[in-house]
Amino acid sequence: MDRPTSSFKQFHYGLRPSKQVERKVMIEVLHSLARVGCSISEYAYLGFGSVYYVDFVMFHKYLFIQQMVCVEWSDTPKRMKFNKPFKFIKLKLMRLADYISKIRPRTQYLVWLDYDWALDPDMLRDIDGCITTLAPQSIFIVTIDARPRLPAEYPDVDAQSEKERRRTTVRAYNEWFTKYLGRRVTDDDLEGKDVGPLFYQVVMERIRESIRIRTGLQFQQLFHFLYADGAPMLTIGGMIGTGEQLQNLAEKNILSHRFVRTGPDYLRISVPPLTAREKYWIDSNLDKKLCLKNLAFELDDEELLDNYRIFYKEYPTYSETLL
Amino acid sequence: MASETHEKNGHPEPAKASPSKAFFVEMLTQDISLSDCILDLVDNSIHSLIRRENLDVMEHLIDGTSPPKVRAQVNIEFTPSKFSISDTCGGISIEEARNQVFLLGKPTVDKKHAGLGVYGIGMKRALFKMGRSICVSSNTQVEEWKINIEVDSWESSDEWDFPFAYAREKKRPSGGTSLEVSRLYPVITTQFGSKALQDILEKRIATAYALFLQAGLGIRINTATPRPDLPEIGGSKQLQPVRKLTREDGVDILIMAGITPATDRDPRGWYVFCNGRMVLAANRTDDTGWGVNEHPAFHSKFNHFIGYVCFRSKDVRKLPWKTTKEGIVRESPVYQRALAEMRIQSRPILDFFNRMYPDDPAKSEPEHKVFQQARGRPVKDIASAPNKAFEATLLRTTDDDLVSIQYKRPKRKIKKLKEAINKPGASAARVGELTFDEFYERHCK
Repeated sequence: MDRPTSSFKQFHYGLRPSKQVERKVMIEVLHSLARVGCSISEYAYLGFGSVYYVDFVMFHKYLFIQQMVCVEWSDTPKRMKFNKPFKFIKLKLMRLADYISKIRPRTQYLVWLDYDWALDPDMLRDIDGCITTLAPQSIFIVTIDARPRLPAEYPDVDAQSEKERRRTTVRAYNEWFTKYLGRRVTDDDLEGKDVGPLFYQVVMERIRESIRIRTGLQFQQLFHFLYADGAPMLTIGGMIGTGEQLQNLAEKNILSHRFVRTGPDYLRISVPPLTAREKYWIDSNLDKKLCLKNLAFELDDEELLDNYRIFYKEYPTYSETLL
Repeated sequence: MASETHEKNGHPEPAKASPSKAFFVEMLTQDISLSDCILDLVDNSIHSLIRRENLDVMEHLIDGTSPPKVRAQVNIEFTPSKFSISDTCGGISIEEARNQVFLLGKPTVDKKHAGLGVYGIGMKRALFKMGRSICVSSNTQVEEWKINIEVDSWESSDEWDFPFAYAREKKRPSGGTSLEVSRLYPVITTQFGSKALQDILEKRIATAYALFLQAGLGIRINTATPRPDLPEIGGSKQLQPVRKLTREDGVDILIMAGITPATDRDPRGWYVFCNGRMVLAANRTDDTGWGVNEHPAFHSKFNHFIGYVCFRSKDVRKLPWKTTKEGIVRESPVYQRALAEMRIQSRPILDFFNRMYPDDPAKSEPEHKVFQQARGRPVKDIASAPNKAFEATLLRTTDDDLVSIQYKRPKRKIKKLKEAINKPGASAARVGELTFDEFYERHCK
């Protein structure tokens, strides 16, 4: 080995610490909504489960939500049923598009469409369907892969070279997104690690267009996160409500919450990989004076420490448990 | 000084904005087809009926109740020299004739009935469009009146009102109204002489007033009596159509959608009703959301899609209809709300069609099976059921299910094969089956 290994500086993807931080950040913000009279525990949670149902377990344990609907179009229906952690979770083995038409118009929902692929027209239809249907004071959140990727079923995309794929992507994005952006998508838009700002603009414009037809209702953005456990992921979310309900959010200081983002500036969720011992050491020594040189161990840069300072309460610790 | 000549009482003289009769007689009539005009007159008759009978066909449709049997008739007759429409729908009182019916534009709107009269322009526009000599007469059970309008003399005078030929008390067993137009314009004469107009009217009346015809109203066009034409929605245990009733700003919006039975060969689309009157039939344009944003444009694979959107309100101004009652006002907030619901409710149906026509036909067998098994259900049965989203329960395929194989080979080769298997009279399809079986026996067993 001709250079020191640095793989320990990366997390095991399966643990997805940033994702876990994101969940906890959301929970913290959602708890604060009690100040404006939102009883999140009485909301119905609608989300995608996967066989792990992590969001469901966390939202039940920390938000006390008891009405939960898991929509999953899965080729492993038996596994989905087998792994359901609570009996009260209603598992709907269908496409989200089929479930949106069944959303109850007078029930307040917490909806989290946690996709693991990039923005596409079907997703925009899902967003439109939810925003035009959800009852006032419902929370709507969407997470998408922020890389410029076309759907796998897009014609011939697999067989193309990197350059051709880029060209195809620009063409497709122009067809799909120009009307939301008010301009053409160019090759430059797809430069860099992610297209978060582009997707953010499209999603917000879709939300604005959908809410426009709902007399007396508006959408107040609360969430705008970008994180990367592997692929960069973009989360956008907020509350549907009347002018008065949304005004209340400002008056009760919800909009100034440290994790709330109401515009194009996002909260970057990035946490350093630490051993349990390192984490406890920092926790017990955390104050304004703590900096890299005071640490009892090496850490690459100050930014990692600053990030930890922001998210130390949400930072997950993992250990093996023999069940 | 110049300013003094343009001023009156110290203020500039106002810009004149009074209407001209020519606007109503010549211009307003340009924007509407003759068949639309005739349907406007039928609307007037039905509006009288709605008020007389307190008829609300939409309410009955939603509640699943039968409206009381309507006993009324509308007769339309035309020749190249004369047009007439008469009804037994209750008639118009002298008071209404004097203060409402002939006003150009409606100052007040009746909010007690889910009627068809909105803008107060239809009858006048229709009559002015056809000819120069008009006679309107009506009677209720207690009085009768008649007005003759000679358009030439009315246009040349400063007077806007129409004098009564008579207006008097008279007891009659029932009420009705009659309109006649003669001295027709040449272009109207030509249309009344053509068979095409008769056909168009028969078809349009059968669909536009289907709910009223079902309730018992009779409409005759010369000698023809159209039957109500409401395409059925397919249903079965495996296939449940959409039924969604919502209320938006005092307007009931009933959406029903699904798949037409395989036996229905006509391409369908959205049918839009306002207070029971169809204003859009089999629409496949962006008026009903096709091709708007991410919603797909109409394609022949959606030929069996059918959707009904029925708006109902006693405040007729809230309904999204145009003055011609053909087409909808897209910008109307209530229509925009309905469009959003139409997008949501139709998406699973369109996805079903997408799965029915994939690249690999074998994959679509379950969808085809469900589609073939659906049988037509009357619209009223679906309308009165509880709200329900579209559901297609696919029959799970097993390895023993049959799959079609289709391919083409030269005749000459098939002929040789027939000889080889000693079946000279077999069809090409049979040869395919036999050779498949032969190969399977040899190599797969």
